[in-house]
Amino acid sequence: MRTSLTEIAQIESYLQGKLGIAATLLFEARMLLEPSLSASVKLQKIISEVVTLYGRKQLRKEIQMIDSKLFQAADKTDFRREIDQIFNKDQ
Amino acid sequence: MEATATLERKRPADTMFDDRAAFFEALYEDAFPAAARFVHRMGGDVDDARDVFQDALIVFYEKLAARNAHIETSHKAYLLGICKHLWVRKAKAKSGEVSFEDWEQSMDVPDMNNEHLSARKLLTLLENAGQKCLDLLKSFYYDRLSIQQVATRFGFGSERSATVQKYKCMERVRNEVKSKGWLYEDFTD
Repeated sequence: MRTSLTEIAQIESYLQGKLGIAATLLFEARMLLEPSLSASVKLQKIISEVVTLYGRKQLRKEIQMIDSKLFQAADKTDFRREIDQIFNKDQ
Repeated sequence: MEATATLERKRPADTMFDDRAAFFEALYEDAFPAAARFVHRMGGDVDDARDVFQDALIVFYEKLAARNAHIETSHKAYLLGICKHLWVRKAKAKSGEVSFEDWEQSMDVPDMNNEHLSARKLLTLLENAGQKCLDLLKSFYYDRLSIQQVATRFGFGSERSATVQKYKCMERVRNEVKSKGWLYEDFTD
């Protein structure tokens, strides 16, 4: 792999806590000496967090489609009747 | 319900990723009425129940993906435990009214509403930058699929090329961000 990709792989291992004690210490020392590495680590951490946010957003869309189906589809009337009874039984 | 029981016989993580929509539909149909009864008992309406339940499904999925769910009973019971936690958080004043089982009490349920403005800004950039890369990164970091599963799903010839492609995507996104001249500080609120 290209050097830059190797660095990305290393940063990922570091962020996921997979480097081992000695390699982690060495990596952290490098981060102190190389501000650009330190910046890359921060950026990569943020990107993976944002990817999580994206994944969550996609999943929410899928769940909302299922919700619409259950609350609208013709073959789901039993389900809707059950829910209606829960919320309307006091009236 | 039978559909959920069948799904549970397979390894949950596998079922979920093979056919996520079917898995969630069966679970929604099976577990939502119980969640709705709980929310109704707590004074909520049907929309409250849907909000809480949908958030709970997301938490549930993330826990399964991270292999971080200790499910002693069933998917349904576990999901309802998450609903209770989310309800307590949503309606803090009423927290004393919800009774938790011991195993429910010890669940670690993350906060779903900690999304920073800066993260949304970056997300927009990523969405514009390249859908395929974003989906690939999502499969690794969110769905936590194995390299093998990712290789199959995206049609890579080998696990190695899937791995290399993941790093290339990360690089591409990093370069996008750098080319905009954004700094780390732009993403921390």
